[in-house]
Amino acid sequence: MIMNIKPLQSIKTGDLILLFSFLILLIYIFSIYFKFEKNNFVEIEANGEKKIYSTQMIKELQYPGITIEINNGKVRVKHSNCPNKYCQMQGWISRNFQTILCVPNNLRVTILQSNESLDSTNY
Amino acid sequence: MKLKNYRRNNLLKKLSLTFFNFIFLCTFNSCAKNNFYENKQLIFGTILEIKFFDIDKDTAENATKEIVSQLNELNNLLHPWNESAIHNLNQNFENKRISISENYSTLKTILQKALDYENHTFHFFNPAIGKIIKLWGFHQDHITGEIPNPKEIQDILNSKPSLSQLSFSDREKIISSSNNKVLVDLGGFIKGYSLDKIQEILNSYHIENALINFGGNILALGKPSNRNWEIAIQSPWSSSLIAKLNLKSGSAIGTSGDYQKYFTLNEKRFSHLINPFTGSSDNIYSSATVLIENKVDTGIKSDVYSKPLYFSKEPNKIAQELNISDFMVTDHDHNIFISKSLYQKLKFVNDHEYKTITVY
Amino acid sequence: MNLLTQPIINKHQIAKLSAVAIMISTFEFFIPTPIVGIKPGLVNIVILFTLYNIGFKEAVLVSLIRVFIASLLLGYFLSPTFFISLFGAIGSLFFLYVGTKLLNKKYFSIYSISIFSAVGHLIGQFFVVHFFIFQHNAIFYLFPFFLIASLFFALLNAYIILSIMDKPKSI
Repeated sequence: MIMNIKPLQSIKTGDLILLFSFLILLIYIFSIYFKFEKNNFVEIEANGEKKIYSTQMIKELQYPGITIEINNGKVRVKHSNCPNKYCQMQGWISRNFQTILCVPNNLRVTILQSNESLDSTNY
Repeated sequence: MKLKNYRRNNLLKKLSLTFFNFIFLCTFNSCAKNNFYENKQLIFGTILEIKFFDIDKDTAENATKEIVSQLNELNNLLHPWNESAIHNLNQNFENKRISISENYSTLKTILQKALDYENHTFHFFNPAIGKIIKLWGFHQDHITGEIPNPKEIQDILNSKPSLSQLSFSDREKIISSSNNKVLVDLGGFIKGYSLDKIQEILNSYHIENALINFGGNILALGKPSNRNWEIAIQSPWSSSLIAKLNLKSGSAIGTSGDYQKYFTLNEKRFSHLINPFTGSSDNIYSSATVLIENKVDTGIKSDVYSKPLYFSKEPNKIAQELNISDFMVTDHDHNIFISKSLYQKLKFVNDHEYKTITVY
Repeated sequence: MNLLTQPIINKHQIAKLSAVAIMISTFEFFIPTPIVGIKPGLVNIVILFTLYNIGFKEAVLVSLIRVFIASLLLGYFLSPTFFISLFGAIGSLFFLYVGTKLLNKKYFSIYSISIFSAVGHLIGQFFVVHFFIFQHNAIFYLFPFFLIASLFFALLNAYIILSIMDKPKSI
């Protein structure tokens, strides 16, 4: 016997409370994100090997299956051979803690946080 | 039909991306770093990075303006191949007659200072070998990359070009050279000299806390808040970093490296650092870094002193004679040679970059 | 597992439901998702359906069978994607269990259960990424973005279940 359930009417108070508490959590997290500043250093971890780069240059870095582009303060994955290319679509990052992940290529690109950051680069 | 779907999907992807990025972008411009003033300029192809801490915006902007105009002036005076006073002077050495009288006294001061450092560094820093650098093709905005005729280089080397061959006539305001193979190229001097000029300007504006990076050479004054200025040193073998370093107030750091300006021919790298004794760009080391904490000519020393360390076979002996306590040289095989004093100040990062560290 | 001791009718049901779940997985794998890096998690519909109509143990079976078979079918078995998928499923099931025990049916409906399951899935995935792939806090930067999508699809999934299902059996 198929009963005629109206999906929206079965929402109960608890559901709404749960949903709103999650929304408040999200607002709180994003309010932290708003305070993030630009940072001139990026850490790239590929296959467990970590390297720190200055973002104050124009440079393309080659990793197996992936090309990372650094352009005057911002970083992106320019090309990746992974099937979904989410990392490529994420675009440029430039602020503290912003991260691009590419799980198939075992690659993590993270802008350094201000407490680990530096003022300038000698070259 | 398929194409249409594909396009719509792409559009959706872009829309969602925009949504994600929007949250960050909307605060992008309004985000002012507390108490920091930052400025970045391109001066004749060299990046000038200025950071001030804890000063009002007007002073910061005026000081920046003055720094930029002074640096532009210096470049108009000293640029090795573009139209400049030095360029005119070099043409005069080849029997042309272009008046340099209006810049005579400034040029004289700068050239005499450079001569002091040439003698002081046992001619490892030699601004008179511009002709050889020109033969290597580094006197143009776009390096073409050709290997010069060794005979021509030997010709110039045989004449032993040196700034000491210049003579100054205060009355006629003429600078002449006894050796017509002299071509003055202050490339290894301008950045350091500029840093010292900038320091003078900052003093006149009473700016106490500043970090100046001019083409990689860094001068630190004061400190930002309760910490020291902290900088990174780039790895000579890749674009990543090799070490972190705290800069004391009034110190400067400079590096000469074969990765800064070079051309590649048959998979061999030819850098713009030409050994003044051999005229070749074949050197044992890939980079030499010096940290100067001395208060006199801090900038110039940070620029000039890296050359003798880079070119000599025994950098630690040269460093001893020049009284440089903080230095580091790196070779092509990813080995690092560093003085004990600098080793204690540095913090190495990116362990995969180097093979060994030798402490003198 | 007590699969062998179960009545035959249950085995058939599990097989059928697993087949549906695998089909949805495959489908999701190939359709391009509108939002970067985010899948609607329609498989959760099948898992929740199993939970409400048969029971928790069966839901666990359907979920795990789906993870293994789908990964073999799609060719990512034992790759990082597989472990992320597996731990996502485990996290989801754990939160489902906690949710059904913790939440009072009087105040919480299938919407809450769906949210629990989706958040569990997300936590399971971040757990495996954090501990086995990138041991760095920075990956949590992406968490809130995924959380938004999770909540949205959790509500959508609950809506779909209520639309297609008979009145859910009480559990």
